Amino acid sequence: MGVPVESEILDLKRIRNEEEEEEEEEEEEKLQLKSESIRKWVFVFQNNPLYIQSFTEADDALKLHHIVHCSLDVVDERVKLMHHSGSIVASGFGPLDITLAIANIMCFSQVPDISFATKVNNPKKSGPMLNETFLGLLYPTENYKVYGYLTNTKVKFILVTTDLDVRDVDVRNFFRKFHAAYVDAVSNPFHVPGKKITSRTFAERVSNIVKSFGLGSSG
Amino acid sequence: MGREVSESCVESLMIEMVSSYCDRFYATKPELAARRIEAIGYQVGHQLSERYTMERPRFSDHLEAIKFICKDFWSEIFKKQIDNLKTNHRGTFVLQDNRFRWLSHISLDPSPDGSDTSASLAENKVAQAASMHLYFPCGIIRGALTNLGIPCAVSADISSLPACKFLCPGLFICGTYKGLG
Repeated sequence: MGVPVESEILDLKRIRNEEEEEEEEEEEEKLQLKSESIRKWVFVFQNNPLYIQSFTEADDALKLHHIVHCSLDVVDERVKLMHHSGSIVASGFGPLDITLAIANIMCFSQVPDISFATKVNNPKKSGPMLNETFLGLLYPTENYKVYGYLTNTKVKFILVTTDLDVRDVDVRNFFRKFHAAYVDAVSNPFHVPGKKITSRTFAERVSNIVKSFGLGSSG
Repeated sequence: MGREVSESCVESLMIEMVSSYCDRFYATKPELAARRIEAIGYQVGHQLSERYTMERPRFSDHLEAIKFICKDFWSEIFKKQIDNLKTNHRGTFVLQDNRFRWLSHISLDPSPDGSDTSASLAENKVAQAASMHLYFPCGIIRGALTNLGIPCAVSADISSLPACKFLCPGLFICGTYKGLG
């Protein structure tokens, strides 16, 4: 990975123009966390961090950065594996071919499965991890555990913790709360998508979530 | 979560936004006004999609994401689902809403020179006014899809549908272009 950090203005322009080739536009957020007051977060948009917050007192920022960047590749790998079977046939439509598309309406077929009834049972339940946002333990290192979370909007949260016997439920809970905080932060009309999150409210909320990490579900 | 806004307020805001951009800020450049309105919609869609996909499993392909837009996303915004979804299986989707809320209360200002304008001209004017109001939802769809990893171009088309006063159909055409699948 390691796409160089681009200016957001360029990025937005690209979205506006919609003419350049689609590249792996992944917003990624990383979040690192080490317990026992040694915690750190990073968010990444196109592999550039959206939000970094260190809860670390020790001077190992570089090491944590390294771990998080490695784990990004792991996330990509997992997602690719999951989606390998569901590859999509390339389409001939460019952005400017819209008129062509309209002309083609007559040959459109009805989407068979659009019954507009809410699905109660997911037939793919056999693979429970398949499309879940929570990716679970990405990989363990000798001192850390790295957890990943990938939202529908391709934002990655990474959590690094030194707490080696952390429970999955706690991590899940943590990511859920964190995701809610993130959504509130990016819904701020003054937030520019892809730019670092500078909101103080968000930072406060995040540190609260970190503090309560592991406490909530024990009761 | 779950806070609601009065529908009439939203509608008034929408109408006011469109009329300010069309008649005041960019009165001479309707295309620019349309682009601005679409950009606002884009941001709204971008943020809404972030929120509404929060508790969901990830989408495995484009169709699933589009279906999400048709069902859950649409019913969050309009309290109803898209009535009809068509695709050519090559990346273009047509979303049809037979009773599009944001058009349902639109009526045309009776023209001042009024009396002898032909019916077709009036109809044309209605279509034009309505299409101005469709840039915002177009932007919403584009923002949501783009945020879900499907860059696309969305256009609205009301002309191809039977012009029925009471149904207020809205037709959205999403042309996605896939690079990496």
